[in-house]
Amino acid sequence: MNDPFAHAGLLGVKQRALDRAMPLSAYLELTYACTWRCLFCSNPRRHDIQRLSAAQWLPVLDDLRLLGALVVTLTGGEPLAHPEFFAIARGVRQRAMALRLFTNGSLVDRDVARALTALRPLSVELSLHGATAVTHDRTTGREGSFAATLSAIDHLQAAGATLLLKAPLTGINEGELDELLALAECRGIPIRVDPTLKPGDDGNCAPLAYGASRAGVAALYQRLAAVGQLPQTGRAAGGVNCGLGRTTVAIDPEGNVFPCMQWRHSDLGNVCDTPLTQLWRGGQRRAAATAIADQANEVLLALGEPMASFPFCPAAAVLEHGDPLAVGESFVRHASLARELRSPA
Amino acid sequence: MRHAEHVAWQRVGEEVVVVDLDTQRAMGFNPVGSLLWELIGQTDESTLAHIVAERFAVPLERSATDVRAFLSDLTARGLLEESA
Repeated sequence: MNDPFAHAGLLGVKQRALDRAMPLSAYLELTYACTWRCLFCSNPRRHDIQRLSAAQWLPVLDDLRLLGALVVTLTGGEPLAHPEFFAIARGVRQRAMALRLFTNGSLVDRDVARALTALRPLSVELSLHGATAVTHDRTTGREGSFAATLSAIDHLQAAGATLLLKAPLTGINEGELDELLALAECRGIPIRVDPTLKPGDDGNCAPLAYGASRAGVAALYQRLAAVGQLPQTGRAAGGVNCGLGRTTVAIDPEGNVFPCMQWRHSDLGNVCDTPLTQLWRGGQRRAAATAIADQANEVLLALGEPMASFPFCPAAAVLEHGDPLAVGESFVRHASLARELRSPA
Repeated sequence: MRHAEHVAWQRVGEEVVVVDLDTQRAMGFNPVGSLLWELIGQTDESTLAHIVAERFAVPLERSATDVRAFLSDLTARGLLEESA
């Protein structure tokens, strides 16, 4: 390489961000409004009380830039339902941060697809809940939503966007796993199928009732094992479980700040009252969250295999069990299954 | 010269990380490259060479050569574009 100042490896980036508590990844929930009514939605409501405007989000983007954000994910609800979505999305790009979008695709027509792609998003990630209209629409509670998703995919692919399909594996769609994978492959789009459902952000555990069966999870893990993509994490004493309070930050539609996308147990304050930089740098609550990430690593290490090498979410644990360090039955089941498939007898 | 529109970047500690949104590839710069990246668009090549020579205690002749190579490489990779 003839470039004296560049190197290809980025292995140290995440560790440097962890060491400095730089929120490399920010999640902005622009609105809780949504065109779908998914059975296991984690949002506590489907309307906003006092949604932030673009004029209120732009200074937040300035602060994210200062704090070290590299990727800003716009999510919801359905983020495209925010009336000033594009002003906010442009604001992300104008500050040289990468834009990522979580959408259900229902509001994506040809013009929206072109406008989105012109912003050069790092990825547009679409929810897909089944390989058939019956299954998908049953999950979203909206007839025609499957056709709308496929239409959005067509428009976005025609515009040249980088796509990712995300399919939570549930008891409803687990019988269509192979068809889901085939649908994605046929369109040349990567797909992430995840069997982990989380309680609602308000602690409501009803969404967990839609979880996939043991056989469904096993079928998924067998396919992931075949391509070396089983969930796995590395741990070392003195390390951290995750980026909670360090490399991730989330802000809800009303401006409440959280130390990660899943963590709703306690907020760090509100950007309408206090600048984000101050909330992030000075807050005792963020320090408490980072302590949880440290403790979780030690707890999982102490438990040994198979739990130690399986990704653990303290935010899900606190919602489900009231304790961010509680290791639940479904976690142990998934970890054991992954271990069996990694090391077949 | 300025950063290309299809680039996202951030300083993470001593190093700048640059993501090419068109190719989805990321790269990191060492401290000298990171300083140069942050100054691109604010000053000209000659001044950049002087700044590097002074900050990193290298002969101006060498810094000028290295700065030119750096800018050429970034341009070839599509990470820089002409200012409007």
